Amino acid sequence: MKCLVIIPAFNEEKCIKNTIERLKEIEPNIDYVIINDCSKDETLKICKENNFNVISLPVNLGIGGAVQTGYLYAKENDYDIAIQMDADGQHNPKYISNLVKAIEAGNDIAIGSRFIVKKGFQSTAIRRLGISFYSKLIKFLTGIKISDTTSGFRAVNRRTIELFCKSYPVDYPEPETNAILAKKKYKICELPVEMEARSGGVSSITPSNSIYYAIKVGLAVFIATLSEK
Amino acid sequence: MEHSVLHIIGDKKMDLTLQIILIVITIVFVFFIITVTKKKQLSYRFTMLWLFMSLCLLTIAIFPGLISTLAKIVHIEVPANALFVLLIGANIVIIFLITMGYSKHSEKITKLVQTNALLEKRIEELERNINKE
Repeated sequence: MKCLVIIPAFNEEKCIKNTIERLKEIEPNIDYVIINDCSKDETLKICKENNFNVISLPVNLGIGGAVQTGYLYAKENDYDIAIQMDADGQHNPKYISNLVKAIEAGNDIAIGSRFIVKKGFQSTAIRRLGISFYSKLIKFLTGIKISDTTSGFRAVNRRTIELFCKSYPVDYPEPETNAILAKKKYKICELPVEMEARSGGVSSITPSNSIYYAIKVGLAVFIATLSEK
Repeated sequence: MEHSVLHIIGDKKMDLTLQIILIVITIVFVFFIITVTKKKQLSYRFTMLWLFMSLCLLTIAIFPGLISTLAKIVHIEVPANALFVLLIGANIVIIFLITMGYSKHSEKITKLVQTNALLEKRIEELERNINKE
């Protein structure tokens, strides 16, 4: 099956090269595409210099719009499986093959979870609290248990690619998309992965916007489960 | 005209001056709306909205008794408050419509940006293939 790794990148000049080189080393035959979300630093220049496969957005769309561009590219080029991976080195490409296998086994989405085998970077206490809250919320609203609802390391099949092409949340998309998929009764599975502390770049969630994040995601998950049947 | 703007704001006798000021301001506003529409700085959807608002203001300025009647109907003691409720309500509706429009536009822009980026990618690849040949 044709697989594409989607790597959204915003101001990732410090780590994009390492991330891609590690990906090529571990998965030499896999296709990938970097979505440069109008970075203000040298991310695009580094990609061009190294001949990385990159799509560059002319204006900044935010994480949702960037990732969706990757899914649109996957659909346009007829990929069977799309894997989402961060550019900052948090996600180790060695787990890609497991995620792909889970999709080949018939799942609509395979989520890499850092909480199944509690090893590697476990995130900060406050974010774990948030993650467990969304996990409980999704369980309550849809009956489906997802431990790492904010994980951006995941693989999806063609059916889910098409759904994501139609609509994808603007910001903080993961918990919301998980809720939509759960409500639509898509087959969801979680696989253990070890995440690493980011090697560069900054999280899109800062203390000042964390309250907005918390409320927005909670509301989005709630509304998503209302509107989907 | 028994009721005036002053009548609704205080409970004094009608003051024609204030009424005239309001009417003049509204007419100036209408001219301004038409001017910017002519210059294509305002689309007809909103021209109609603002002209409608002006018409309402003009009606209230000419017939302030309407507000007193409205106040009585909905049991607002001071007629001026009825005027405020009406205007604030209209503002909320307009702002809500604007945020809805803004959301729709954001979505359209996202779609455009994505299509543009994907097209650029395809052109790049085509050019590379041509250069290879």
